[in-house]
Formats: sequence, C-alpha cells, structure tokens
Amino acid sequence: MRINVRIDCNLILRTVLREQLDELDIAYELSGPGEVFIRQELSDEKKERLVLALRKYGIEIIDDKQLALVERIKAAIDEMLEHEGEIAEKVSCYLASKLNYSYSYLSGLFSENTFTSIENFIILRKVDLAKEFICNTDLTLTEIAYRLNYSSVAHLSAQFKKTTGLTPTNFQRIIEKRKARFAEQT
Amino acid sequence: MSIKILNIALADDDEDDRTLFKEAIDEIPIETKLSLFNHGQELMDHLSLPNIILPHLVFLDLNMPIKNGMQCLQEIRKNPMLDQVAVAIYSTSSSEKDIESTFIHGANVYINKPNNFYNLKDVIERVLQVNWQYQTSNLNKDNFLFRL
Amino acid sequence: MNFKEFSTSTKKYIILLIASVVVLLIAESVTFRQIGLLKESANRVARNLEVQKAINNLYTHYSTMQSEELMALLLGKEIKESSWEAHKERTYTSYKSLEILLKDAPAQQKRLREIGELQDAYYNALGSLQESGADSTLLSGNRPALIKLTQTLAAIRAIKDQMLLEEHRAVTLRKEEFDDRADITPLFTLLLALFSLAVFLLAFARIYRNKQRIKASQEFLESILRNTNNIVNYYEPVLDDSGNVKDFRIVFANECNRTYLGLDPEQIKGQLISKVFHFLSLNGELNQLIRCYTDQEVVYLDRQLIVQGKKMWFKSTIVPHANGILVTGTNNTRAKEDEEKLRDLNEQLRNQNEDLLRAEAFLEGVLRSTKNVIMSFDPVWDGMNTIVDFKLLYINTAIQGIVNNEVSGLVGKNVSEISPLIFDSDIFRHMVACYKDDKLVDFETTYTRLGIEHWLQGTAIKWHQVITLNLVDISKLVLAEQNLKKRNLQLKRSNEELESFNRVASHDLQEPLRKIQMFLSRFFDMEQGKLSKKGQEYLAKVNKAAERMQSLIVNLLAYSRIDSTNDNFEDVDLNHILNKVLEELALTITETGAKIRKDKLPVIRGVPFQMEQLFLNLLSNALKYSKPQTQPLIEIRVEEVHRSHIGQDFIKSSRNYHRISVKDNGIGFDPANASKIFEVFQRLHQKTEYSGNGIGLAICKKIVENHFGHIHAISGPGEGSTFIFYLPSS
Repeated sequence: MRINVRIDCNLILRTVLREQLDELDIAYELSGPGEVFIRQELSDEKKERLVLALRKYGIEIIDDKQLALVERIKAAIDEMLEHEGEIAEKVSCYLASKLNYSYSYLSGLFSENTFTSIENFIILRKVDLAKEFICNTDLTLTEIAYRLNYSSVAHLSAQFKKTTGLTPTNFQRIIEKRKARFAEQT
Repeated sequence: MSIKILNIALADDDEDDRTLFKEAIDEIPIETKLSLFNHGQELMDHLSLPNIILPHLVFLDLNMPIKNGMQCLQEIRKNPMLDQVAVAIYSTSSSEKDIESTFIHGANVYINKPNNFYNLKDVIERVLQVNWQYQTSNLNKDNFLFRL
Repeated sequence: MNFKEFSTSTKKYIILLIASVVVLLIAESVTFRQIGLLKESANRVARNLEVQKAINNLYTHYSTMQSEELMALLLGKEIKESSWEAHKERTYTSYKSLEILLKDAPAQQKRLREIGELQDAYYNALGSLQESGADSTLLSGNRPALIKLTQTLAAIRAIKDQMLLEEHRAVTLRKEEFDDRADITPLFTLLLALFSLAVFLLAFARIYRNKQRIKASQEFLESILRNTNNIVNYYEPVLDDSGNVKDFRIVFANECNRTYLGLDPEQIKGQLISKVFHFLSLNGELNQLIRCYTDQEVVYLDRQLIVQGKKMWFKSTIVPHANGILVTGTNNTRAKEDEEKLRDLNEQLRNQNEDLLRAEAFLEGVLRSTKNVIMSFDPVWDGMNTIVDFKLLYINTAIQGIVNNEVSGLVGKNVSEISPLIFDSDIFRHMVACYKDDKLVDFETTYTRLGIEHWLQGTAIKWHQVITLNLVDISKLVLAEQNLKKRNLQLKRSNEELESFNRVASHDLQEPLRKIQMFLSRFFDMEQGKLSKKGQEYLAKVNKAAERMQSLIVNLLAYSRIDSTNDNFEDVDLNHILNKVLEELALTITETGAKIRKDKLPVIRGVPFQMEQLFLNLLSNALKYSKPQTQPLIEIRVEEVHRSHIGQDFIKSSRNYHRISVKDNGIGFDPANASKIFEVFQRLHQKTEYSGNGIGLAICKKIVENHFGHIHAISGPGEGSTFIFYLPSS
C-alpha cells in the first residue's frame, strides 16, 4: 500500500526541538523560524548530548551566525510561499521586515553563502513545490500554476523547464514510471 | 549536511574527459573535493568501502567498459546506504528514450557532454549549484531532476 | 328413452281419447234421453194427478153449487148473484185449465165437452131453481128443477168418474212405464259414471306416465346441457313496434356460458342478447340470428371472437325451434390453434426441406470447387478393438491431383489399397487418434513424389461415427514461408548492422569531434595571447567546421532514428502531443510573445514520439522564422477531407484524410523552393542568418510519409508560410 505525505518542515522542527529539549530538561523558548532561545547556560556535556540527539533527526545546530541568518531567510521564504496569495508586498520588503535586516544586506549574505541569489532560490523553491504538487496530488497544471501564483500555465511550464530542463509533463511521466518500476521491484 | 565542501565523484573511462572535468571543477568557485575513477567497477568498489565519506554527487559516463553508467546507476539506487547520493549522468548525446530511461532508473541529473570548455564549466557549475541547494535546504531530493 | 315410441303413442293416445270422448258422448246422450223420458213419465203422472185433481175440482165446484143452492133453498135464503158469478168464474177457470190439461187426450176432451154441455144444463137448472126458489116450497114446485139438477149433476158425476177412471188407467200405465224407466235409468247413469271414471283413470295414468317420461327426458336433457362442452342457448324474439324482430331475449343459457364467456346463466336469462353478447354487433351476427328466425333457416357461423380480452374461435349452429332460436356454440379455439400449429409446422418442414436442399447444393458445390481433398471413412476393426484400416465412403474430385485414379473406383476400398501415402504415414496414426479420442486433429506432414518434397496440411474430424479427412497441399505456402523467413533474417541482420552504425555514429563519431572542439577551445584559452590574428581566425574557422560537422551528425542521427516500421502504431491524441510541444517551446513562446491559435485536433494511428517531433519541428520553425519586430502569430487548423478532394499526388490508401495546417506570419519563402525545403540539408538562408541545418523539414517529411500521409508548403516572400500535411483518418 502506498501513501503520499507532505511535510510541514517548520512544524516538524518545532515538535522535535520541543521533545528533545524537554527530554534533556533544558529550559527554552522557540522564537522565529529556525531559532531557539536557550534560557540557561549549557554545559559542554549537555550541549554535546543535545547536538547528538538533534543530529539523529537531521537537525544541525548552526554555529555560524551568518549561516543561521541564511537559514532564517530560507524559512521566511518558505513561509512567504505558503501564503503567497495573501502577501501584497514585494519579496524584498517582506523579507526585510520579517527578518529585520535591509534587503541588500540579506541578499548579499545569501548569495555569498549559497552561491545563488534570493530570487533564484525562490524560483527553485517554487519549482520544487510545483514538483511536489505534480507528484503527490491530482491537481492539474492550471491549478498548480494558480496555487503558486503564476500568471498562466505557460509561465509555469516555462520556468519549470528553465529550471529543471524538463517540461512538467515529462517530469510527471518520469516520476510515474519511476514509481511503477519501484513497485515492480518490491 | 551544511558543509561548504561538496564531495564529488566522476567515473569516466576517457582520460581526457577526466582531465577536462577536473580543470573545470577547479575553476568553479564552489569548494569541492573531487575523486576520479576509471570505470564503473572502481567507483562501486570505492563506494562500498566502510566508513568512507560518501560523495554528494556522482557523475557517471554511460559508455564505460566492464561496468557502464547504467549498471552503476542501478546498483547505486539499489543500495539504501547511497540514498542521499545524487547521480548525474554525463554522456554524449543519446536518444530521448535513453535519457528518460536514466531518469526512470534513478538518475537525478542528465548532462550532455558539452563540446567546449566554457560550456563544460557552466554546466558543471549549474549542476553543483542546484545540487548544493538541494543538499542545504529542505528541498525534496526525490524530486531532484535536472537536465541540461 | 325411445322418442319414436313416445311420439307414436301420443297419436294412439289421441285416437283413444277421441274414441272415449265419442263413446262418452253417446252414453251420455243415451242416459240423458233416459232421464228425459223418466222426467216425462214423471210429468205425465204428475199431470195425470193434476187432471184428476182438476176434474175433482170442477165437480166439486158443481157439487158446491148444488149444495149451496139446496142449502139456500132449505134455508130459504137467496144466493147472491155475485157469488154465483164467482162460482161460475171459478168453474170456468177450472174448466179452462182442465181443457188445457187435456189437450193431448182427445177422449177426455170429448168427455169434457160433454161436461161442458151438461154444465150449461146444470146452470140452467140452477137458475130455474133459483127463480122458483124465492117463494116456494121446496117440495112442490121445485121438484122438477131439483130433480133436473140432481140428474145433471149425476150425469156430470158419471162423466167425471169416467174421466177419473180413464185417468186412473192412464196413470197406472204411466206408472208402470215410469217404474220400468226408473229401473233402467240409474243403471245407465252408473254405467256412464263408471265409464267416465275408467276413462279418467286411464287418462290420468297416461298423463302420469307421460309426465314421468317427460321428467326423465328433461333430466336427460338437462344432464346433456350441463355436461356438454358446447354453449347451448335458447332465445325468443323481441319485436319492435312494426312487428319485426329486432332482438332476442335469452330464455335459456347453459353452464358453458359461464365457462367460456364468463357469464352467469342465471343472470343473463331474460336479458337481450344484444346487451349480453357484445360480439353480435360485429359482422352482422345479430342480423343473421334474426334471419334464422324469420326465414326459419339454419345458420352456421364459424368465427373468432374476443371475449374478456382473449381470442377464441366459436363454431355456432343456429336452428329455429319452436318460437325462437336454438344456438349451439362449440369452442373451437383449441382446434383452430392446433390447425394453425399444424400449418406452421408444415411451413417449417417445407422451409427445412428447402434449407436442406440448399445445404445439399451448397455442400456439393463446396466439395466440387475446393482444391482440398476431402475423404470420409469408416474404420475397419480387427477382432481386438484395434483400428487396422479405413474404408473409403466418399472422396471428392480434388483427389485427381494427387492420386491418378478415378474417383468412383475408389469408394468402398480400403486405404491400404488406395494410398500407401496415407496408410504408411503419420496420417493414418492421426486418423486413428482422432477416431479413438473423438477430437479434432490438425497435422502437417510431408511426402516425396518424383524426388520433390511436398507438404500436406490435414484435419481429421470424427462426426457421427464417420471420420473425415481434409487435406491441403501447402507446399507452395511452406516454400513461401521459408523464403520469408530467409528474407526476415536478412533484414534483421541488416537492421542490426544499421543499429550498430547508429551506435557508432552517435558515440564513436561524435567523441573525437567533441574532443577536437574541446581542446580547440582549451588551446584557444591558453594560447590565445600567443596567436596572431590570422592564427586566431583560422582556429575559429576550424572550430566552426567542427561544430557544423557535429550538428550534421546529430541531425543525421535524428533523421535515421525515425523508425520506419509502422507496426508499433497506436492511437495518438494530437491535442496531447501539441500541448507537450507547446510546453517544450514555452520559453521561446513567452520570449517572443507568440500567439498560438489551434483547432481541436483528432486522434490518429501513429507513433507518438514521431508526431511530437513533427509538431516540434514545424512550430519551432514557425517561431524561428518570424518577422522581426512582429508578434508571431501561429494558427494550427484541421479539417477532414475525402481523398478525391486532395490535389496532392501521393498514394491515397485511406478514404478520408485529416488536413492539418500550421500557418505562421513569418518571413515566408519563394514558392519556387516549395519542394526543395523538404530535401535533406537544403537550406534557403545563409548559415549565419538562421540557426539550424536544414534537416528539420526533411525529418517532418519522413515522419509524415511514414504515417502514409503527405506534406507540402505554401508561401510567398514576406507573406508567412503554411505547412499542410495529410494524415489518414481511420
């Protein structure tokens, strides 16, 4: 039997953090996306235990402040895309206000650390979401284009192809054949 | 894995191609660590060593003796330990059907071997970049398909 | 129940009755006369007595008168005149009545007359006495009158006595007579009475017996009516105002009315038949009933009625009887149905016969016309349940090809005699197997004749204990098949060669080319500074040439890769294909701002990938060769056309075609080149102006022709181009 799942990364992150921190008996407070405020001083031993515990879930504690900010930008982008239909302001304004830094600073920081611009990343993320929609739901391309705030299916297709080198239809077909093959093998 | 260094492996039986690849990689600003293999078997042997640091991305030429790219691809995808490894098929032109077949068998990337150096660099850089995004963000690696 | 006897005895009875009546009448009249006579006697006697009384009466009157007179004399009284008159009156009355009474007795009448005369004398005497009476003395003067009186009276008395005597004699006579008669008459009466009684009893007995008979017949009749299967009804006519029969009233209806027509006999009695039997209004049946009655003719009816929704056949006989008509109806439905069934059956049989004849004709035709040898056999057993041979029952004329014998001479012979070919070979084995296992056996076998090998294909079938063999000489077929196999192998080999060429071309040819280009570029990078301008130029040219060569190889590959076998055709929805292609070109479409108008395309039989290639090439050309600074406008139209309306010259094996057109508003081309553009490597422009290598349209042409269609183009310089291709419509 096959079930398809969708992940709300933020929720998972928060849940796991809560569980682990509670278990280790650490007082904390979850602030913005990807950020936890530890209320106490952690001993090295406790810190190591926390790091290991979180690593099991693929959660890395980012030492580097810059990287942390990059992560927060990414999380903010995710959130933005989640509610893209409702957000009237431009990306730059949104991020700047959400994260409390100037957009130019954020953009520069982002490119330096990720080798790609925020705009590119957003496109990549959108296409990634489109991929998820195509794989896990029965939505038509028109519906997906609408959901992701493209002005038309043609625009979605164009951007999709530009980003991945494949048309959405091709992509869908490949994924389906992959699944079929996988089902055959098991 | 939020490490800055991208671990890359290439399996190609053509020496020139290997050299060119390395040169191209070296000129790309992204920090990488490249391992070169002469053919598929070498690569697979290496991958099955215990305790090795797995490459993030493996480039496979299709036409190799002893074990060709397709066979390697299938083996890699059969191995759950190598789930996180992205595979890029790197080959001279094939028919649409063959290209699609590589994707279906689990390849993440298909690259037509470019015929000049700039294109080579450009292509590799784009692949690395995209791959890097997938490695460092919560983009769905299963859906990572990229074709150049 | 002898009705004949019954009716003749009735005649007898009537005769008897008449005879009895006659006798009775005679007897009665005799008796009556007797009684009459008796009465007469009685009357006579009575009259006699009356006469006597009257005579006495008269005498008494005379006597009385004398007495009175004497008395008067004695007394010396006078008798009044009136009383004398009264006496005379009375005497006269008596005299008259006596006269009447003695009407029939002349002798007596004579005496009466005498008396009458004497009476006068008497009155005279009386009168004279009276006269002298007044002053007289009785004795002297009157004595002569008195003596006269007395004498007269004595004379009257003497006559009276004579009369009385006469009368007395008559009475006695009469009395005698009466006595006689009185004896006879009661006897007569008694006889008469007895006779009447006898007749009456006889009649009664007769009546009673008849009544019994009638009862018996009635019961018999009722039993018949009740138990019969026929409707038996009796109607009496109903007259209209002019005295014509217009209807009938049901007087009697038997139980069968209920059975067949659902009518209660008791209920319908007394009703008009036109009301009860609705079917009478059809076909003028009522009129026929009326006619039966009025003409007193028997009417026969045989017809179908619909009663309570059911169809029934009734055969009715209508007979005038007494004062009405008797209707007997038989329910013929069953008989009619059976009749019809029989007719149908007959028809069926006739048809079957015809079919059989036709089948026979057909069979004979088939057997004679086929080149197959068809034979039928009976198995020949040995004593131990093994089939050792087959006896030929029938063989068709085709045998003359294989065995050079006359057909007729072979029937009845065993296979072992006729054909060692069959007997010594597998065929015999197959036949045995077929017979024993009772299943169809297909087989192939070979035989050699005159050094040449022949192939036979046979079928053995067992049907109704007869085994039939059907043999075909398939030598030609087999040879053809062998040839085909050889050719196929050749083709396969050449295909494989082509494939490996493809492989080689695709990889091994391109590899070195790629290297050339790659290292050229490296060389250029590294040594650029050291090269002279001319040197750089030459390098550039080398590179370009290499590029072209690669492009050529790529396109050649694409062209050759178009698989020309069309056994992998499937149903292809061209709309789906078009959308895919539009997706593929989405970027270019967006960049150029191109507008695409398309019709709904049909589903065709073909190779999906090739169709995709076709549309991709056509559309990318349309986009590529657009007019600068103009929004590209591409129209894709389709219509279905009959092959007779297609002007292009190609083999039109399909009746109808889809005519698909891709029209753009691009730069167009000179119509003189209309066919050149589809040739391989033909380009109409300088290499530098437009990318591409002239093979795209050649590929389109190959694809369309692969699908049994045709492609051509219409254009004018600067007027855009229209590419039209035809695909068979299934």
